Amino acid sequence: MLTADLVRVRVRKGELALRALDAKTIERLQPAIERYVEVLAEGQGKALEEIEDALGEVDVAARDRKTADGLRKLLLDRCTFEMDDGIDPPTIREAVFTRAAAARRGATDEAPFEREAVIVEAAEALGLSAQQVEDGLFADLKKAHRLQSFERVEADELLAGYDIEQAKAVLLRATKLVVDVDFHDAGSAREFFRKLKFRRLLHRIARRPDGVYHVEIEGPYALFQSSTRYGLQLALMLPALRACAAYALEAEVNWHKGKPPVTFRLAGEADASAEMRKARMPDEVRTLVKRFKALDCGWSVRRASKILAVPGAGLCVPDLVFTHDESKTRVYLEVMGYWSRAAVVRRVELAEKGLGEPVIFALSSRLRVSEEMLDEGTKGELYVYKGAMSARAIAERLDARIAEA
Amino acid sequence: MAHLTFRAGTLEIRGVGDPALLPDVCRWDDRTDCFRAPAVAYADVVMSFFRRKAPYTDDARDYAELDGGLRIRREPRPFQSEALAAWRAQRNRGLVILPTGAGKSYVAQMAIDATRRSTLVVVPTLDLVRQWYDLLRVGFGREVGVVGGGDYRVCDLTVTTYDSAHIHMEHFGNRFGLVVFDECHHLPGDAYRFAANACLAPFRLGLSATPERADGRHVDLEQLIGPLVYRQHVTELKGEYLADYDVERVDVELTPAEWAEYEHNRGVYRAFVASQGIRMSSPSGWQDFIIRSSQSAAGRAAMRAWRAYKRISSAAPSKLDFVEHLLDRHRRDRVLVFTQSNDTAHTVARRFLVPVITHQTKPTERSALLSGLADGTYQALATSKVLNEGVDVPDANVAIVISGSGSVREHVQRLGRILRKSGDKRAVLYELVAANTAEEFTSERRREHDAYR
Repeated sequence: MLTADLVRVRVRKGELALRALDAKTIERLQPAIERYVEVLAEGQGKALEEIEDALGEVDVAARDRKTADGLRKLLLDRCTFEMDDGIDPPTIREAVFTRAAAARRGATDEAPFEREAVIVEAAEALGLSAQQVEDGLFADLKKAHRLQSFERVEADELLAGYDIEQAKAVLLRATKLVVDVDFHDAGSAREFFRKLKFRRLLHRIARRPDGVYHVEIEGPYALFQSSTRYGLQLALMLPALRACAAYALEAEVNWHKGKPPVTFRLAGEADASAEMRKARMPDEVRTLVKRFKALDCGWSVRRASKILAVPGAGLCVPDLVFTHDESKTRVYLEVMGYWSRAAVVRRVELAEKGLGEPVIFALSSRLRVSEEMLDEGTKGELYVYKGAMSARAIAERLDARIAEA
Repeated sequence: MAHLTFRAGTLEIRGVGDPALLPDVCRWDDRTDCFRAPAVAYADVVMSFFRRKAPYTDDARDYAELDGGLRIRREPRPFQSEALAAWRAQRNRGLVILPTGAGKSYVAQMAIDATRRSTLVVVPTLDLVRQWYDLLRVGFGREVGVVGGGDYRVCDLTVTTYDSAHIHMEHFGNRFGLVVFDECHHLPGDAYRFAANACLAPFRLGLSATPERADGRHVDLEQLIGPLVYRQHVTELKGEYLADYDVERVDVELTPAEWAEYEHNRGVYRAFVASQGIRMSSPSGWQDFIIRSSQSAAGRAAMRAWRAYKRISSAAPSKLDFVEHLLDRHRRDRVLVFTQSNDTAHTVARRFLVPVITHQTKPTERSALLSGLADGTYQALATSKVLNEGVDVPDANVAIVISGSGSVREHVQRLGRILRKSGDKRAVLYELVAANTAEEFTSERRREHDAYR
């Protein structure tokens, strides 16, 4: 990951913008990147210090220095450096330093301390040559570690990912993120909020009339002090955000220490390579939709696009919404399948606190949860199924709701 | 009924009938539909409920009362007893300022013994983690946890670093009733202060020899830990409770070749600074230099020149020749060699074949090296900054400062490493200064303390 000092930005009137690489810069940098890749590809077995010296010798124009340093960092992140096998520097040090202490204590003006004699004596005791002792003395220092592997990347690929690496580095200094996001489907929304929870971030969520969600994200402590403490967590949300259908991000960033925060904006549409692109409608949900439509039971079904949130209690992301043809009554379905009993308990609590919309939570009988766990009188309902969900059973539950109404 | 929980370094307070019960620091959090306060406010919140006889349930506090106290007791020195009494009188919150070597750690052990609550000790370095681990394990005869340096084991007595506390306090900040901040002058930094705010421990003790900070933020220690409750100066304890000592500044002349290289590089650096109109004496001078030097080839040359002339003045061969002389002169003593950089520490280690401790030295090797110095296996130990603070090297009686910053605190702390009383020992600190270089001014700056007058 890039560090903030390696990012090329322009700050003007409180706005921070990334300085994207233009064609001429790319053309100028191309040979340097190729040379960097060459140094690393041929550097197997060389010490980090040696590799860094070689990379430092690559000629780069003064105006491209920061960009080149950033690209170097990204390349070094693809390397593994380790100490050579078979060397035991602590043992070498102990053998050398204990002998040296004894030698100095016994030295006199006539027979002064002799460094080389100590090295030779230690080498003999260890069964090594004097040079091996000299080389091994501090071989465990990071700068002495040797290049074991390099995950090669071509210049084009490296440059293509550079801007998003810059954006992540800017977010390291973010105190708050506000995103307008259009999710692909329930799966991608769930994945997004699961990541928020995993990173211990809190959010406020509101749905705009156009169906886009407005989500404010920050850490628990942000209520008392604006700080970059959660910057890494916020930066690590970027891949999940980029995988959504469309997003617009606005971050409050403490870019210069002691100066007012600046605003950083970034927008994008679904990135085909991003991780949540794969979050399509699950097979079991697709099968259910197909069978439900075949019933022709007076209800229509479509993919749900609403997130049901209860502040302080959590949220649920329904997969489907059923609409009654005559009354236009809507009922949501969240497919929990084999999630966990704890997840069911959380949904029960959520329903009891008031979800605002009627929801059926479908879960496998393997979770061994009773449908009675959720009291009547809430808008939620548990549907426990064996094997696969039954379209007919769901239609009956929907009809029962209409009858009750 | 109000209900308290601990979440990520904060208190969540639900079911509050009357918000007026809550201290001002509590705020409504619409993200989670509850009141929220920094964990440090725990004592105030609970006291508020208690005073107004308001019922509450407490799932926030998760610390234990210790079933035993100090196993090994010794007669405290009078000033240690006074310090403890002053701290107890302030409801077990506050700062105790004592010179290095005066026995601050024992005051902390007495505080743990007096409060008998699960305790977290926060220290600046892994060497101090090791030292506190030994102190607590032997002193209290129970398992001691360590968080930091690759370890994560939380026990009723746990030692951690400021870095780890900053990262992990949001996870275990409710597990301790007493938190001890050793070398507490570190705490008011932007990042580290979170460690104090995210911990709900109602009892807090801050220890330092030199609490004052150049940025003036030491005033924040009162909010983060408590008020200053006790202070003694080095000159008041010298002789009776600390070893007597001498300080000898040695001006080392550079060779003509070193001098020429020094002058050349300093000239390049100064010309650049002047051409850019940078005032290095201003608070932002150094930052300005960093920024400007990265923007042009001349700037980068100036930065290289700055590094070069600093290297010459701080680690010139003529200086190292004098170190050889001192190591021979003190061949029967225990010597600590302090440098400004790790590179210089390694140069010293390689040239004189003395062991070295840096931040990269693994705990087991650190431990063996410090024990080796104590039992005489080693005559000397080189280090840059990691031994500056708190680490107990009772038998060391000679310090050689090859180079350092202009920080008064660093210099006082380095002196402190050799002041622990041991028999009738007399300590000596040599400060090597490259004559007629900018290092002379650095030396003047760092000696502005009573201990050097």
